Amino acid sequence: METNALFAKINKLPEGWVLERVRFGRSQTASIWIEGGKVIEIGRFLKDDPNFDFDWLENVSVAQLDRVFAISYFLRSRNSGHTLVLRCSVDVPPNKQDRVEFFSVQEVWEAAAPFESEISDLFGIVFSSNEKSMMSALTGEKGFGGFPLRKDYTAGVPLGEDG
Amino acid sequence: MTGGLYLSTVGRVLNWARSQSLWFLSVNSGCCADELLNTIGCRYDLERYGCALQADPKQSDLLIVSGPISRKAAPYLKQLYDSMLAPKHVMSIGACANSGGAFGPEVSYSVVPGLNQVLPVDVYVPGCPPRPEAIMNGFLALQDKIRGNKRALRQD
Repeated sequence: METNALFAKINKLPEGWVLERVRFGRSQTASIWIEGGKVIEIGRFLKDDPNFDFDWLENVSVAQLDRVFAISYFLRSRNSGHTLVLRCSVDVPPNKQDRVEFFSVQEVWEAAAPFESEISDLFGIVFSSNEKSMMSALTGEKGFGGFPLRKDYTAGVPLGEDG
Repeated sequence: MTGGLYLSTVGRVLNWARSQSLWFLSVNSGCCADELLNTIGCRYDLERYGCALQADPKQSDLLIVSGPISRKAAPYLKQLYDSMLAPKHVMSIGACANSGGAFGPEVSYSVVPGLNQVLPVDVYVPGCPPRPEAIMNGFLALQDKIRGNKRALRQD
């Protein structure tokens, strides 16, 4: 699908869902910023609505931009092949040992489980309802102090001795 | 020899044996191969599930594709799959093999948008790249599928 046609459909979404529309990366993929609290509601709509049909969660990535974590969900429709990047943000906690809580999209796309476990280890973002994941018991290096992909991470400091 | 020749219980035992000895051939065209090597390595030790790396398609039960498949490589991949003996399975690892990923049709003209366009895929492992735990989860799902359990049949 053309990005413009996808944006035309995005324009018809209920008011307050889309904060900003941008084109993402070299491929100019359609991307929308949404409120973090609405990620499950919007995700379910995008998956179930036949106009969008984003049934495939390809990847979840996180980047720390200054004092916020930008979480990106890369969606793809298996039927039409079109792609969308759903982006939202959550504040970085002031203490570097603290975790921050966010909404899990596992109930919408089950493939989110391994991504959320990994993000939980590396960024300290705890996804609600991810406790039952089989991966959570396995992932995580022992002895890391803090979360390695945060900007304020200092290597080589054992857990508990710093911060 | 077809499955219909056996009694159901014998078939179940055979399926159990097959699921516990998944010798695999891997086609590594992307960085997900590093994660696969990690999975085989001593920390995760894939061989405890009976999964061992093979070099010969005739001795393999499973074909693993981890990375983007170019349109030029696709016929050779099909040839490799055809030279494996039945029963055979296919696992697709990472976003590139699953759907083209970062080399999808909107970016690249030369990459096949999804391994399922070339081969019948049994298990998709999501990730960019997936962690070794996710790859192990894929192996366990395939073992479940071979044994006929319902866990692997979920569509989402």
